[in-house]
Amino acid sequence: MPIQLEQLSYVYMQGSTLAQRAVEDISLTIEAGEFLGLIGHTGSGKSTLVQLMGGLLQPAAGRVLVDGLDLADKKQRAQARRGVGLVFQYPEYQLFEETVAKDVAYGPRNMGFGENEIEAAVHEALELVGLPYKKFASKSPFELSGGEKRRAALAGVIAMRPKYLVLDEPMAGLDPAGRSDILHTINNLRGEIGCAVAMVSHSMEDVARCAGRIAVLNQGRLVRIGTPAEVFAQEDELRAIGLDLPAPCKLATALRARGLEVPPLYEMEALASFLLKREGRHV
Amino acid sequence: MFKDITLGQYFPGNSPVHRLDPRTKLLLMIAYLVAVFLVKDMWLFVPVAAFAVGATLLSRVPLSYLWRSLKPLKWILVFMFVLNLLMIRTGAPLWDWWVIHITTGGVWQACFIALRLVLLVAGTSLMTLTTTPIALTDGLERLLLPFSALKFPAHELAMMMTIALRFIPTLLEEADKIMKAQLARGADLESGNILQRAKAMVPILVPLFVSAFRRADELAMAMESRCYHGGEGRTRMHVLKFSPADACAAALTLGLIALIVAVQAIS
Repeated sequence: MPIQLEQLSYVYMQGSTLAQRAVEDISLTIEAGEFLGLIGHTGSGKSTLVQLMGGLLQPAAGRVLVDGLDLADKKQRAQARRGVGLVFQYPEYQLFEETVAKDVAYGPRNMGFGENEIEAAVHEALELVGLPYKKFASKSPFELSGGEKRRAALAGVIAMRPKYLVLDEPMAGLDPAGRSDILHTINNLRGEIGCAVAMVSHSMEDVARCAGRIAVLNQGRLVRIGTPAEVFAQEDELRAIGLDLPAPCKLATALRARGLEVPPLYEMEALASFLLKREGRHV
Repeated sequence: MFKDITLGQYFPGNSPVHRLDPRTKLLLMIAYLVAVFLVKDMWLFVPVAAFAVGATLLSRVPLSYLWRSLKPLKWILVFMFVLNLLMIRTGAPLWDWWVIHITTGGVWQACFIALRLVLLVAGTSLMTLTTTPIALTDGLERLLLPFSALKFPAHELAMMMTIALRFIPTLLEEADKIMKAQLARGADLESGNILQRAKAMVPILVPLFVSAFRRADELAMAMESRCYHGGEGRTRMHVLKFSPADACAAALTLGLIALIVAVQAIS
């Protein structure tokens, strides 16, 4: 069962002169186990959409169904929310406990897991994000490095064992090594615990590398949804709404313009090995 | 959750009252308060009220705004009114029943106190409605400056107020974000008894304090890197200047006080 957004709209400051439509008539489905990338220019409604998916904002129109449960329905909301793990921008600012283990346990405890189950979930989540339990469990979250804090916060959401992980710019403000580590972790999660991932990102490269489908938002509306190949084929459309192509894509386009046959590739490594192979050399 | 909170109650405008120097407004507000307290005879509230209403009309702040600022006062008003009504035993008895003795003196005093309270709040509200918080702290700093000779930290005080005002919306926004993040982790802020609810606030308050300290640290660094070293020798972008309008306002207010003093001296 998927997360279904049906003709979803949201208005900030509704009823005042400052009313502003942030999300307008968006319908899309996040299938179980898939990796969906959400891209859009600043102010395109990505973050609002994330909050709507977690049931933190109530839509002005339309509805969100999580595994068939309506987030607007008071009785079903609590159950529906359990399935969705939200990771906000700069999630490290939500750390508060004395130790990393206690902080990660906060979510599972709120959800009513038993003590043994909490222990197991914390252990598993910390290992999944690459913070070995033995080393980090009893540390204070405030003495970790920036990247480690981000991981600890991520573990706090993963420990709740969501079926859908919705992330808002999970790599923002990290150095390149930190970015690729986190992205790697998120991508692995699908295989390890089988959850679907919906990730908002500004980085076309990151989205192109991991996402099976990409949704493009502009001014609160869904402009396009499709595979990376479909989405990045619309270069003019993307540029018109202030987005760019991933760097390997740009290179491939430039090569194509010079008469070289290049298939649509979105990873620098893949493009590089294709070109080397074409030259008759092997890596 | 906090998006509807507005800070202070400034009503934007460009009326003669808005344009007055904040120092003038601060001093005249004090003079006005003195005038209200000088009044011993209820009828003298008429010129005071006329002054307040006149100033409001001149400021083009809708009277409904002034009325709104009086609203939080209603329970205090009722309490004071009833208390005075029951406790004052002077004058002719109007109503006697069990322990309740209402007299003309009581009614008079109750009305007097209520009016005084309303006029006090109306006057101060008019000032905050027509002056931005920043202008107010600016005016306050200038007024307190002479006291820095006595080691009174006028500039530091004003800077602290300015920074506090500046960061209230930022911290509210931050609190909203953290609250949402913890709600997404299953935080339950609405059920349970007082103790449980207070405990449920810890996951919001701890990150909020941490981020407030971090911001303070960053701001201090940013200020120092722009050579901030306290108020000594610091010049300002907006230099406060008295204008003829300030003299007019001062004359009117002093006239009001003179009128009250004169009338009461004669009678």
